[in-house]
Amino acid sequence: MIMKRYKWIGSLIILLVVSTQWTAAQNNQYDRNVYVSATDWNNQNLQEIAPGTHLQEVLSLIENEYNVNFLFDSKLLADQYVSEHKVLYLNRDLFDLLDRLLAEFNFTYKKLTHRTLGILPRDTEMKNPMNLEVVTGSVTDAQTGAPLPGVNVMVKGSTIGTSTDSQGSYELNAPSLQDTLIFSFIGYQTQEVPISGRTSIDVNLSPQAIAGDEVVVTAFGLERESSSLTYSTESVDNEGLTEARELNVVNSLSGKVAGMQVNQAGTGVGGASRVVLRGNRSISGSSQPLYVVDGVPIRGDISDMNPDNIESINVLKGPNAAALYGSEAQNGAIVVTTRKGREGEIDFSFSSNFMLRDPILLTKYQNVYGQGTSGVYSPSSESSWGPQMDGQMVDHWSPAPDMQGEQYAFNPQPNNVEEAFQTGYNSSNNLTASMGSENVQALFSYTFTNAEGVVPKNELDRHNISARVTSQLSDNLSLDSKLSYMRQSIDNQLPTGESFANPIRHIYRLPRNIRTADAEMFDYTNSEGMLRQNYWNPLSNGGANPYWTMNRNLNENVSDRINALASLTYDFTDYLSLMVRSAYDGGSGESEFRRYNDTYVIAQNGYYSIAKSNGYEWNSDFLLSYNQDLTEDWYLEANVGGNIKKERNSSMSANTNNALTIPNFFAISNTQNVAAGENIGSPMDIYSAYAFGQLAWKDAIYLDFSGRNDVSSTLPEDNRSYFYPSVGLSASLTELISGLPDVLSGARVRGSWAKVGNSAPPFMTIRTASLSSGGNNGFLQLDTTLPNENLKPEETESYELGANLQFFENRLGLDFTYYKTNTRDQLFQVAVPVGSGASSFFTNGGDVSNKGYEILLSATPVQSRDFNWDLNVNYSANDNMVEKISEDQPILTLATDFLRAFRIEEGKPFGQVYSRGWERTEDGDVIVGENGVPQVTGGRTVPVANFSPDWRGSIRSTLSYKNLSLSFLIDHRQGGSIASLTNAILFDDGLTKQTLNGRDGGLVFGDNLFGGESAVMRTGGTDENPEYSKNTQEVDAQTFWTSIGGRNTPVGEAFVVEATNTRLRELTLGYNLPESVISSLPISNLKLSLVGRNLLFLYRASENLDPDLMTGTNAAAEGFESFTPPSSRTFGANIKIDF
Amino acid sequence: MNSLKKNILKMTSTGLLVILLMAGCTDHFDELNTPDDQLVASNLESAQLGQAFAQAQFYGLYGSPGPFQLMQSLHADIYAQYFATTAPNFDSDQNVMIRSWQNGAWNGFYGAAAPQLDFVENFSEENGMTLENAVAKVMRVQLYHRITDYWGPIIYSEFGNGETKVPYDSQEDVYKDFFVTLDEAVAVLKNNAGGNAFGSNDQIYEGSVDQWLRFANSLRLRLAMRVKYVEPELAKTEAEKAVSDGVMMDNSHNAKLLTTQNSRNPYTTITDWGEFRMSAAMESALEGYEDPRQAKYFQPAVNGDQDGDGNPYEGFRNGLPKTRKESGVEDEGLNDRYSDMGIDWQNDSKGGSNPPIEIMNAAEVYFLRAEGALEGWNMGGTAEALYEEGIRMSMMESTTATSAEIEAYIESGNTPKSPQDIWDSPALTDIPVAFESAGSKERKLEQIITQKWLALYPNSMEAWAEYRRTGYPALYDRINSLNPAIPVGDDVQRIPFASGEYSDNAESVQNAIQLLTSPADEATTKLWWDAK
Repeated sequence: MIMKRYKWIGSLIILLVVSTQWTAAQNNQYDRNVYVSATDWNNQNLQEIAPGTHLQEVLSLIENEYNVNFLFDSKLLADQYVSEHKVLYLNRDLFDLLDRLLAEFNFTYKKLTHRTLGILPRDTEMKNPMNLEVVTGSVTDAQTGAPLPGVNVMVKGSTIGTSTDSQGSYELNAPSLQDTLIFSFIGYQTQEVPISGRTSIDVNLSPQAIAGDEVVVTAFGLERESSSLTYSTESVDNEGLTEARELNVVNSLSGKVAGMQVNQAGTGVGGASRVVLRGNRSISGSSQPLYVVDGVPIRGDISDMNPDNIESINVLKGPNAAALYGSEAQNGAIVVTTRKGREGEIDFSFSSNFMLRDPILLTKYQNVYGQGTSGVYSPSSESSWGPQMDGQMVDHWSPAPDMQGEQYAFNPQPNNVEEAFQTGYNSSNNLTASMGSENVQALFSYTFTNAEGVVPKNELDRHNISARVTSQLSDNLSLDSKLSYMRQSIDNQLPTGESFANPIRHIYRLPRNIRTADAEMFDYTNSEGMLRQNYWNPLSNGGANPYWTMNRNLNENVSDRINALASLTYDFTDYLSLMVRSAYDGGSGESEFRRYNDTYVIAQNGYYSIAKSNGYEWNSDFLLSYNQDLTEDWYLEANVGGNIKKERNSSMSANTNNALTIPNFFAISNTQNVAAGENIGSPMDIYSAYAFGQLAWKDAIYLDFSGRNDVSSTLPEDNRSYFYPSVGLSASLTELISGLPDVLSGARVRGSWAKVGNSAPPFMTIRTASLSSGGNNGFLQLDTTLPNENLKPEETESYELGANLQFFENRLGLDFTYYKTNTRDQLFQVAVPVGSGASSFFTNGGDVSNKGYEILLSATPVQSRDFNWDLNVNYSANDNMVEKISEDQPILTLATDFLRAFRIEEGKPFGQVYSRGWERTEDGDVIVGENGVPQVTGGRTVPVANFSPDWRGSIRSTLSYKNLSLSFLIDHRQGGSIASLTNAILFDDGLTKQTLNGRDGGLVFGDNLFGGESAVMRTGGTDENPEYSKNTQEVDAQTFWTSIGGRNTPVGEAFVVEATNTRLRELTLGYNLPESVISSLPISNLKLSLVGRNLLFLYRASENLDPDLMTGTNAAAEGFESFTPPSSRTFGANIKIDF
Repeated sequence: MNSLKKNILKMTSTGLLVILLMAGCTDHFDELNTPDDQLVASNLESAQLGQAFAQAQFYGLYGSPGPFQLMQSLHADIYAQYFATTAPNFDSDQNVMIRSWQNGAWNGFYGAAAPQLDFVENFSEENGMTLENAVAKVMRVQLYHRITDYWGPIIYSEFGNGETKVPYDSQEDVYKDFFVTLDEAVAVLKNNAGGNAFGSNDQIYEGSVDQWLRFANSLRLRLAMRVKYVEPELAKTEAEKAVSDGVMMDNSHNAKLLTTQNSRNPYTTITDWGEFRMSAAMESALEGYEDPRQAKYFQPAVNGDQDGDGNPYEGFRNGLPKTRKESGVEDEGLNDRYSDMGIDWQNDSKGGSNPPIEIMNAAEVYFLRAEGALEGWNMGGTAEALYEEGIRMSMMESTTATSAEIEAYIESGNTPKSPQDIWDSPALTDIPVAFESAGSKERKLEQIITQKWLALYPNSMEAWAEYRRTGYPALYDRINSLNPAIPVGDDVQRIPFASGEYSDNAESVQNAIQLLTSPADEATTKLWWDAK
């Protein structure tokens, strides 16, 4: 079947390969046969030239036919006309043709570059420099000092020009040494330099300060000038990713892109991150963007990608930007462009990065009271409500036989939590080699990354190997091929949150008197010779010795990933080309869990499991592109393409169930009761056809349009095929309106509208019945989700309006975007009463809207030869609203845990958190019970928090002086709140500093406890008309906190924290070794940087925790705080050497 | 411009070609969108009926440890005072109703068992599999009566309506339908003596129709007794019908669910969690009676004899508060101080035997008959003889005691003793084992139910229902209650509706509240049959 489905693409490829060989065979004399015209294909192409035709006219005819450019001094050609009737055979060799054409003139030609020829006076060729002066020099990047290849160098007012070679050097024949040279290069500010009699001119070009005419990579890897885009994008270059390096490259984007939110999961090193662009929009899906590498969507994210190999990352924020990537791009797209080899001699570069990771413990522990309850010491207590720790001798807690009868001094251990953590590190070393001839360029890169987390034994090793070859196979045919391999192993990824195997849980809960040295002896052998856990409360149903958990609950994960791409592009003519491409992203994973006997609730009798998985996403596509100047002012680009996407996953797992036969021997066979399972992941095929293009008028107006039709295997036959369009317009006011003030160097407005459809998860159209083991012959269970035979694709509709203003030669820029998206007909499960025979059915419905503003301000307040100052400020505010869920349900619960339920609710922003709250009177006063503890809304829950932020902003600034540069990034999150389960448990345990107050009583709710609340107590009246008076009932800390905290029924309202915070996200100090030193070394460049990330909070509303850290990465994850690892600061050094 | 036209034409035709190619290649989509490791519900055949029935049996009896804990362990086990909670956060032992637990308990049945049972009943009926249909009906009565005995009104007749609203039935309607259903099933079973339904997929009787018939009749007797106080006439009629149709006579007739390595007795998993220990009530009765079953039901406490009574089996009082200020007792180390459940119910690696799951035993049937005889119903024996036979059956089932030892026990004047604990708990009650032929009817009832309570262990769901119905055995007050509506001397009478029903089936649950004996969805509201 697979062969059959790919047959047509296969034949296309074969056809192209055959024709390539044919072309190559025809043109074995390389130098004379470079210029093969497209007209070769139809053999008879004669052009008659009438006498009196201007020579320039003939040259431009040839330019078009042969796809070349002629450079000449128009003054010299001003009155040159063809004297006699000529027949030009346009299928001939170009040089032959030029020889014939120019025979009658006093001109000859000279090849300047691959496709550029100079038309020179015949004598100058021999007798230079009679008329033309030779000027040489080199062009370098003003900031990095790196040579810039490919810079255009033109003589002002003429068509004479050249471009720099791979070393950044140029040589040019100028008519006069009084002329002016223009140096221009995409992404850099154009410079005009008067020659002023010199013959050598070196130039430093400054990168454009502002996203003015930056080149960005859009759909299908097409490069566009950002000014021509009808929607907003933002990009981050390689340096922003490699210097202040993160293990997960996505984390480096945090704070740098307006409207982007990055949260990290609490699984330690190598953990995933949750990225959301412009707000949550999917009721049951992920709301996360699509990742695209080198023009092709990939499987999953880029957390294991090597930042050294990334040229740039461009964030397409709205569905407008991403309409063309199809379904999965409805949440935006993160477009990664990897590096390619460059023409030139072999270039080696080596970079090394070492960062330390230091935990920042934010919880303030009390250090007065130790283990016990009600002030009485108990060696087996898991809470710290015991007596004051005054050095008195108490019984040792250890159940080990040789510890019986031992006593020790009862003293505070203020550092016992901190001592359980370690300073982690990330280290990475990269070697990159780039080389290339004119026709073949290659890049090879290898990176080894190695990291340890702040929790001992949490380690990561990662190898990234990548090779990329780009090649001009013939004049018309080019090849781009890539193979990347990644192998990553992570040891002891942290189980998250409430998992009893999560060491963080047990570290944070250490009673205040437990000595690190005692706890570190985490096991002992009992009288029966069995290995036992050394813990103060044996067989606890939730507690454990954290060192036991770290050393005796082990897991290993190994994954392999291959990313391969081959792409052929054939240029039929200079305006029509066809690309055919196939890209594979797949891999396998293996994981293993080992839990030793005596791990209490989760593995009292030991546990072992293994799981293996594999999967891939395979995209094959073609794109036929047409682009041409229709007239002098009008330009058209049009593309037609098609894509086949196949996604397959499967996994198998086995475990020893609830016992190991031989203790602590980890093998699947070592049990009486093997459990095994398979999972046919989520197979999906999507076939797509699309067309898109741009119509431009001068540089002033751009009109973008696109249409895409997907056919998805997961939808029922009638709704399987769906179409979605987009349209956008961008106009330059400075081009269109004359007389605007000079300070305004650019002004563009843009607007766009798009619809993106999305298909369903697999298997939603039929009801399945699954088999499981049990009984004599197995069990059979009908799926609890009812199928829906009428599923429709869901749809996101969005529009955005924006403006970009540039002032003072682009030194100051302001970009403004307003957007609104509605995601409708969402696919989600609606809960039905289980009594109906199923627990849910899959349906279409709902409407979630996001609207907001993004403002970017960029400025270069100082720009001089030695000193530069760049400043970027961004601000984004997103207003999220659940407009509708379904007819039957105004509220949908996404997830629940002991503390809270995560719900979406009609008329409320995404991210409602429900929990138990205080019982209140009609006036809103909290009703306190007779024991001084407020009454709780026991059976029902009330909204207590919402995690959607109000706005986010950041300030990024770079100061550079000569070879030194300093940059920093400060970001701020305003608003949003979460309910902390960690706090609920630590308060219940009497561990936090706040539990010191009122240990002997005297706490009055609404007064010296939760003083912000007004509290009353029932003093009489009837149940219908109760009478209340102000609460004065005293309560002690233990009674209070153990009543409202804890794991099973905590009162969420008491543990809500605000997520507002400001932090110094990044600080980098860079130093380039000066030229004077470099020249004496066998290297071409050396850069040293000192970097720090997440260094400190400038402001934090929440006392005990970092609100950016969360438990997992699912839809409810943003408010999901429960025993996440501590926030950590990283700092270190980075060195990069180019040879 | 000619070439432009030509190229546009080329592009358009290519695009069309591609779309056509794609449209033609979607034949495999439906196959791709069907998981090949699962069956399709609409294509199931009679060959798969047995596995669906097996699933309904196992999950319907709460064989899965998670739902079992939420249903039985955290409620009936401690309300029947077989066990007391040692986990500090398990507030149900202090009368707190935790709705998220009830979700798990409710969904454990309606999600994993009821759909399969419904499927089996409908499929067998549509396909003329009358024997399978009759067995499934008996199973339905067994499974649903435990559900209604928890909540009262339940989803029953409208189960599986496929709607977004599913109405509840009142407990009275449900019970009355039970008797009708049993009539229907028994008629078929009687006509097929010696037959077999479901074969080895039936984990209770391996398909034996004769056994199912005896079980159906015994079940009728159990339910008849349950309605004794609310509908005495119905109770008498149904009970006498049951006995005359033939009930369980010895332990070979017991209804027990087979356990395997892959469908284990849930206690063998949850005893690993260390969250409950022997109750003071059990210590008082078993030690006072010098009951041979104690060594089967429990293990000596890890720390040995705590109270100095010379016996290493230790129980403690239900409802220990988290903060032990009043009592002056630490809440830590309870697991080592008190007796764990018997070795049979422990993990295999600790010597457990993965015992079958108790549904109904001959002992219970004799005690039911004894109670009927006490009422003067025709139960085929005197109350005393049936009572004593009940004890014999239980002893033979659970111990290796010789018949001399058993007879000595039956004749013993032993009474429960004080557990000699720090609360100075008195003896549970003063009734002896030996049947007080001259005692009041009520005292005889207490004897019957107290011995039934001991014989049912660990089938607490039945024991708790009978405790609520009769008030026996005379269990201890809880040490502490966190539920102001249920002070320490009072008991939880029912389980409030699950919170999931309030969000997913709101209208129906509001109507169901009106079907309660008083319109309040509280743990204090008595069930329909709770009318003594």
